[in-house]
Parts: sequence; structure tokens; C-alpha cells
Amino acid sequence: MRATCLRDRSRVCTWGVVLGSILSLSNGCAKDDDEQSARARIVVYCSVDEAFGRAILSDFESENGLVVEPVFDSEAGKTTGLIERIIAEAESGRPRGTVLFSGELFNTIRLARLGMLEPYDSPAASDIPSSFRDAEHRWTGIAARGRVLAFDPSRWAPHRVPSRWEELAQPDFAAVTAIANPVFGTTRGHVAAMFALWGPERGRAFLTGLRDNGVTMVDGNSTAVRSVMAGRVELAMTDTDDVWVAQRSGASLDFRYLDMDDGGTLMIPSSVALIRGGPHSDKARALVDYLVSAEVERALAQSDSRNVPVRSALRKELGMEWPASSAVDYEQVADAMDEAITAVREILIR
Amino acid sequence: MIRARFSSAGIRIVYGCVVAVGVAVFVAAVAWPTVAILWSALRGVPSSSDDLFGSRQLTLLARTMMLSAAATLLAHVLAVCVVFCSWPRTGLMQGRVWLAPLIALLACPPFAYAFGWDKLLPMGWGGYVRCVWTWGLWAWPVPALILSTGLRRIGVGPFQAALLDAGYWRAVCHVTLPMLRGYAAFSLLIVFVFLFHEYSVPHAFGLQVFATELLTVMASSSRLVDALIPAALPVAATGVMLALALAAWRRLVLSSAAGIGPSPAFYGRRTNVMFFLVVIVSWLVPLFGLGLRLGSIESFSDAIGTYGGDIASTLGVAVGGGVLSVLMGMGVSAWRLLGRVCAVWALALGTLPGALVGAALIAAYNVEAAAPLFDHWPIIMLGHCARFGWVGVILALVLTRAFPATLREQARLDGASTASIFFRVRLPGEWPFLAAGLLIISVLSLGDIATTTLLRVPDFSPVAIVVIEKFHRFEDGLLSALCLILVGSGVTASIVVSAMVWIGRSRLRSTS
Repeated sequence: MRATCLRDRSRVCTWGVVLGSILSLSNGCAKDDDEQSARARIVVYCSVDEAFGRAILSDFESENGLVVEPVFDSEAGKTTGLIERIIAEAESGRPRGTVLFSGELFNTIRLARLGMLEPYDSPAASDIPSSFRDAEHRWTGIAARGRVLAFDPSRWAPHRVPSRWEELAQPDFAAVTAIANPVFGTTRGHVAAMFALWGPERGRAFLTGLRDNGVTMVDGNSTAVRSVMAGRVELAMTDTDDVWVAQRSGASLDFRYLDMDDGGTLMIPSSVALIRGGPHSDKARALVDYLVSAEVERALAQSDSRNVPVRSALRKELGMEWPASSAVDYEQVADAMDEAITAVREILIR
Repeated sequence: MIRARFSSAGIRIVYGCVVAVGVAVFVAAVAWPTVAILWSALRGVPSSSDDLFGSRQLTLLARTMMLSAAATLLAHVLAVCVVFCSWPRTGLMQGRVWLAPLIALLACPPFAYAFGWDKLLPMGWGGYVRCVWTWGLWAWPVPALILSTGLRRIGVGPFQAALLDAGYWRAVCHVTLPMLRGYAAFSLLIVFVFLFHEYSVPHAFGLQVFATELLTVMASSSRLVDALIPAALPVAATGVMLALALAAWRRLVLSSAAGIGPSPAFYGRRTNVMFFLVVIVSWLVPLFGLGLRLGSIESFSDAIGTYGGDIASTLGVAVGGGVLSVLMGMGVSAWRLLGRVCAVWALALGTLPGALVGAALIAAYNVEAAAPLFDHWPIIMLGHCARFGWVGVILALVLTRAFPATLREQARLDGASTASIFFRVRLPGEWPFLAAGLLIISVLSLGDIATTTLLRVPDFSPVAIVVIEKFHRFEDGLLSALCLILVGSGVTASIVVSAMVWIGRSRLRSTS
């Protein structure tokens, strides 16, 4: 009897220890709720480079005493996924995020047009040119990336690189070019810019040429760059930051800014905005001020992505040039987005 | 007397709680999300004009099936080489020293192998060949274990009888292999189904298959119904294959075994060489490739310094998912018929594309009332349970079925209740197997990308997703370090699982 009681007690103790360990391990997933609930928690939807985003948000957190919880985009969903999430939350009446820190601008404009952004004229953005700020103060553009054509100079002679985007649809080039799925990401914006500048007819002709001449469609810009590195293609439509990080890893890669047929290439700024109805939006303004500041733009320019500052003084300070860029207005690009995506689905995706 | 009554009542209450929690977990992780996504599908009107049977859908289906079929065949070729080199002297299931490497292969996330092989394979090997190679060399333990089990069940009697009139290989081809048809069919279907929905390896090689397409569409759409159209074909294909696999399994279970396999008397040198050669090639070589990508050992300190919190959280959530899955299994296996229905249901959900499982959880819990669950890490734990909970349910059912009926009757005659039988008779012998199942589910959860991509919560990035991001940012050092940390977790778990299985078998032998 005594031995049975002792054995039962030891079993209870053993299971108690096991369950306690599991609970404490799972509790490692949750921060100290009491401490956190005393500080405002600001959820940031962030589609800039994750390592960079973590670092600057962490700096802000430690300096301001606010809890910042980022939700990063994924390679699968990209910025589009974050935007759709914001839209879904707004439609369900339960926005969870307060700040959007996006690696591009066109989806941010889309949110603004849907009325999902809260106007805020940040004093830290006063030195940013007006072409990179919404007239109604719903978004601010900073730190741009360029759309480029990447190639391996050891396999593809630089003089053979086309000078205009439209030339890519020709048989000589399309067959050896990789393009990220134009339904998502910056490629989506790029195709929309083509439609905005060239008109729908020329835009569709471009897409048809790409398809008929055997362009390789992959699931992302970095995959397009990897395809060049692996020798599966010779040219890749991508962004500057994808080429920079590949070069940092030792890849033999170079890039060219191609002409949009109006004397310049497409530069896509990152963007910062306040989400309407998000929790603690009053406190989040301090975060917006920080994200649009010259300090963050400088950090982005000095990061692996080497984004080009929109502030001319900062460019001068850092010795960076703003490439000859297309005159297309970002609002015009946003206007052309739906028509461009429809054409992409009809011509390239089917 | 009073203490005994109280103890008996206490055990009944605890057992009741375990069963209730298990059933609740099944409803939360499997039943309700299934209902929610079906309801969303029936209620919504698609806005996209994508054809269900458009050329893109059919191209994706053909490509995915071709890759999965080729990899399945490769896995079975390797498995046959290993299994028939060791038979009839012993069976893989009997060799406890062999179980750990087999489980380690499966326990490590497949993308770790993909990144390792990517470094080593010749440049001329395109994405398709790389994908088939990596899949085949990752998945071969599954057919090896199934075929080995089949060999044990059919026994050596027919083979030895055939040897009297024919040579070794004639006996194998004309006697043994035909008897293994059912096991081979089951194995082929199961491996095919799991490879069909595997995301990380095709993604690592830049291939567009159904899993990558579905995740991209679902992650980029705010309307669930629009994302369900591209999911229709792969779900239908999965349903057909799963039904065939279950039918094959049922035939195997119903057919009587011809005999029991021989006890391992010794391990022949040829056996060991073949087995370890295949293990080295399929496991150590890609890990060597990962090591080459590492660059410097400082990457580990960088990885832990930057992502230490995420690593700990990922492990904690994965273990939590394992706990929920095992509880779910214990709960639903309390009823025979319900247990079978739940097992099939959980397996059906688990074999669907991970993106679809994530979408089901979003459909179920993206409401105000579920905010404490949906906005934080518990939803990811539930996601792991939804994807891999079938392991816990099937394990619990197998253990329940394996418990001798005579022992149960004897206990009842002695006045023991169901709860007492469970806690005092079954659990002492079965807990190692339950612990092993918990660990297996946990390591499988570590490699889950598709479901966790959709269920992003603030301030928690599962390590698998971080690895993919590092891949796309060409940060090979961090990528390799994080992969090797996951591999280390898988290896540790596989050793513990092997030990648990050995302990469990020892306990079962001592009680029978």
C-alpha cells in the first residue's frame, strides 16, 4: 500500500515536472504580458529588408519606450501580401497594424485610394521633395530602388545589353531573360509604369512579345537573379538591391538602367504611412517621424540594399547619384495598375 | 478506502479532462477550420476569371506530378537497394541502431538538404533534376520502413521455400516482390502525396509547382474564395491518391500475415556498407554542402544573436504543437469509431497543401472573438497541430489497437475503470511512444513554411521563414547556420525518438 502510494506520488511528480517544463518552454514564446500591456504596442507591417527593418525598429524601441512588433512580408506574398492583409483587416473592421513601412509605393497609393490610410504631415519629411509626398499627406516616399537589367559580364558582353526596356520583347533577348511574376512586387509596378507611359496597346504588345519569344517567368526578383548566376538565363529584370546583395555574396553580376522610352528608368521609392483605425495611432506618429527621417534614409543608403535617398542633400553627402529617371508620375502608374494586371493575367499567366 | 476512492475519482476526472481537451483540440485544429473554409468556398463568389482547367493550371499539375513521380521512384529504388541488402537476415524495423539515422533524415527540414545539394551538384543539373534528386534522397526512409515492415510480416518462409528450386534473385522477383505489392502500392502513394505538396525544395530551386503557386496566390489575396480556385485541382488529385492509399492500407491490415520475420541474429557487412553508404550520401553530403555555404563559424553567433528569440520561440511553439497533437490523439482514440473518423479527417487535412491549411485557420479564427488566439503565437501552434496532428491521432489509435484485449478484460474483471486502465496499465508502457510521436511532430513543424507564412503574427518569425528570407537575400552564412541549428534539433530529436521507441518496446516485451 505504502509502495503504491509512493509510486503514484512519484508519477504525479514526474508528470508535473514534464508538464511544467512544457508550459515554461511554451511560455518562452510569450513575452512578459504585464510589462508589455503597460506600454503601447505598435504593429508595423514592414516589407523592407528584414534584417535592416529589425535593426532600425529595435533602435526606435529602445529610444522611445514603445513596443514595436513588426510583421514582415514573405517572399511568397511580398508587399502585395501585406497590403491584402491590411485590406482584409480593414474590411473586417479590425485593423491590427498601425504603420506601413513598404519597400515600394504603388500598393501604398492603392491603400490611400481605398481610404485606408490616415493623413499625417510629418515634420521630419519637410525636406523631402513634393513629388515623393502625397498631396493629402497620406504617404511619404523615401529611399528608392531602381528597376534594372542584371547580367553576368563574364558571359554576356556589356555592349550586347539592350538600352531600352521595350527591346527585351525581341526574340534575341526574351528567350534569355527571366522576369519575376508581374502580378506581384515591383515587377507589377514596373509593368504598370509601362502601361502608363506607353499606353495599353504598346504595353500588351510588349507582354505578348515576351511570351511568344520564350521569356522565363520565375517567382521573384531574387530568383531571377539566381537564374542568371546559375546560367539558366543571361538577363534578369530585377531591382538594384537584389543585384547589390548578390554582388556582396561574390556573384559575378552587373546591371544597367534601361530607358523607359522617355529618357530615364523607373525608380521606386519605399514608403511610410499610418494605417487608418490602427491601435495607438497617436503614439505611432513618432515612429512615422522616425522612419521618414534623414537618419533612416541614410541607414538605408548605407545598408546592403544601397537605396538612393530622395533627399538631394543626403545624396550629395553620401556621394550617390540619382540616375536619369522616367518622368512617369507615381499616381499615373497606380491608375494603370488594374489594366496592366489584367493584361498580364491574360497574356503571361494563362 | 477513502483515499483509494478519492484516487479513483481523481483519475477518472483527469482522464475525462484529457479526453475532453483532446476532442476540443481536434475541433479547434481540424474540424472547425475545415468547416470554415468549406463555408467560405460555398459562400463567396470568385472575382477572378481564372479557369479551373486553364492551360496554366494543367501545366502546373503536369509539372508537379512529373516531379513527384520521379522523386518517388528514386526514393523507392534507394529503399529497395537498402532493404533487400539487409533481408532476410534482419529487418530495418528491428535494428535500433539504424532507426536513428532514418528518422534523422526525415526529421531534418528538406530545405536544409536543398541548400546543401545546391552547393554541390553540377551546374549543368537543372532545377528539375536537382529537385528530384533532393526529394528522392530525403524521402527514401519512408518506403524503406514500409517495405521492411512488409517483409517482416510476410516472413521468410515463402522465400526460403522458393530458394529450394531457384536462385536468390529469382526467388525475390517471383515470390517476395509480388507479395509486397500492397506495401509497395501504399508506399508509392503516400510518398507521392507528401512530395506533391512539398513547398521548400521546389522553391529553393526556383521551380513553379502547385505548392509554390498556391502559397503565392493565397499570401497575396485578401479574398479566400479567389485563392481556392487554383487549389481545386491539387486538392482533387490529393483526394484521389489518398483514397487509393487508404484502400491499399486497409487491404494490408485485413490480410493475414504469413509469418513473423526473423529476429536479428547478426548484421552482415554487406548490410552495413549499403545502408551507411546511402545514409552518408543522402544525409551527410548535403550537410557538408551546407557547411561549405557557412563561410565562417561566426555565422552561428550572428544567427543566435539576431534570431535567438525566434529560434527559442520556434522550438517552443513546435513542441507545443506536438503536445496538442498528442493530446488530440489521446482524446479521440477513446472511441473506436470516432477515432477512425478523426484519423481520416486529420490525415486528409494534413495532406492538403500547407497554404490551404493556413487559409482554413484564417477562415476559422480571423474574428474579433478569437483575437487572443489569432493575433499571437497560439495560432501557429494550432497550425502545426492542423498540419501534423494526424501523426498523433494515428499513433494513439495504433497504440490503442495494439493493447491486448485480454489484458483489458482482466483489468476490468479486477474492477479497473477505463481511466485506471489508461493511467495505470497502458500509459506506463506507452508513454515512450507518445513522447516519440510528440518529438516527431515537433521536428516536422520546424520545417513547415507554407502554413506559417500565412499565419504571420507580430514579433515572431518562425525560423523556417527566416531561412527562406536569408536565401533570397544571398546571406549564405546566416542561412547555413540557421539550417544547421534546425538539423541539430532534428538529429537530437531522432536520437531521443529512437531511444523512446527502444524503451517502449522493452516495456511492452516485459509486460506481455
